[in-house]
Amino acid sequence: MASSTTGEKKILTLKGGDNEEFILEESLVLQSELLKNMVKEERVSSIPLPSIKSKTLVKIIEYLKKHAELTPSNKEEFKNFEKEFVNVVLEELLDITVAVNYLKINGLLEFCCQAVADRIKDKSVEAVRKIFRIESDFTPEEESEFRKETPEAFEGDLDDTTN
Amino acid sequence: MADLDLPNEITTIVLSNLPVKSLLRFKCISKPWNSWISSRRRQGAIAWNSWNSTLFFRFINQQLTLDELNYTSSDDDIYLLSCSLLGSCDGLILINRNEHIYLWNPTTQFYTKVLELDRLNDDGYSIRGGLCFDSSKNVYKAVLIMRHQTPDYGGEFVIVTSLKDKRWRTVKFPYDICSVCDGITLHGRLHYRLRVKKKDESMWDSFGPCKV
Repeated sequence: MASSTTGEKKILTLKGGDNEEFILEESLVLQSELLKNMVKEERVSSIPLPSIKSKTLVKIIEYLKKHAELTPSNKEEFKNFEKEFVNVVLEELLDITVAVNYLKINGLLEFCCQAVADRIKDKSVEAVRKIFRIESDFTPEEESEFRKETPEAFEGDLDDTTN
Repeated sequence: MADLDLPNEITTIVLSNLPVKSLLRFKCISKPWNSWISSRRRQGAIAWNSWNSTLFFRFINQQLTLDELNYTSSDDDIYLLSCSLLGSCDGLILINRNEHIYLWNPTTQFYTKVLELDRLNDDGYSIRGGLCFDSSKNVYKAVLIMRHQTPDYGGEFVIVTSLKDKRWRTVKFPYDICSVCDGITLHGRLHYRLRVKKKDESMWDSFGPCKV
């Protein structure tokens, strides 16, 4: 099926996990390697993305628009936008990161992962386990060995919150 | 609670952006995290320079862009400023102190002694080094380009060994050894900057010790 067109610009519909539809210019989604391949090779005009929450998709589309408008003169403004873009609760940031990885938006993936790293770097082991929903497979004895090996890594004010 | 099921790509990139102190702490999160962190390496070569007795490292990836390397030194470290840095490959650095040669992973700060060469104790030698990976034999190889200041004494020569068999062999080097400045490993080959006297400028050429 050929994409529907208005004038010169091709229009594409993205369908989020809760069936909410987002209509946008096809040129915007070409920043995503996954969507680019679908558009170029399969000539689809509507793409279902059931694994991505609509809330997350709204954020990503916002980024794609801003990134498409990026010129040498508004670089500073874009940097500020990027800073605000990742300034969300950690759970939401992880949702965005997972979606960006799935959609293969390369520059943004690095940026999101850097933001995740910045947010967890001062957190306690327990907090990181909660955030990533990991259950420890070490015995308490093994765990205390790590603490004995590098006590300096466990010193200081560690953050126990998960947001 | 359900597993968040974070794709490995994400965990890998997040970990590569964490400082060493956090990595050491997060090793006890779980066995997979421990093995990720312990085997963690950055792809690409490492360049370094020192400034006011602090060492700076940068990654040069395959796309030839530079990345800062978060390196914070701790007291337990091998005292890097008293070492000479010989070469780098796959995020690992080859370091020499006295007659000993170590392989150091600045990302995890783990290091291990890999080679020994008595001649390294002789201050008369000026030494350029290199490290590269020989994919046909699945081994890392170290290269030393050595020149003695007293020509009759030690002469000039280039030696290569794999880190596995630790046997040094002399190899032919197609350029004037005096003209070699610094080098870097990229795309599996060693590249050295050579001083070309006539044109008063420098050139780069590659040298593949894997082929010898």
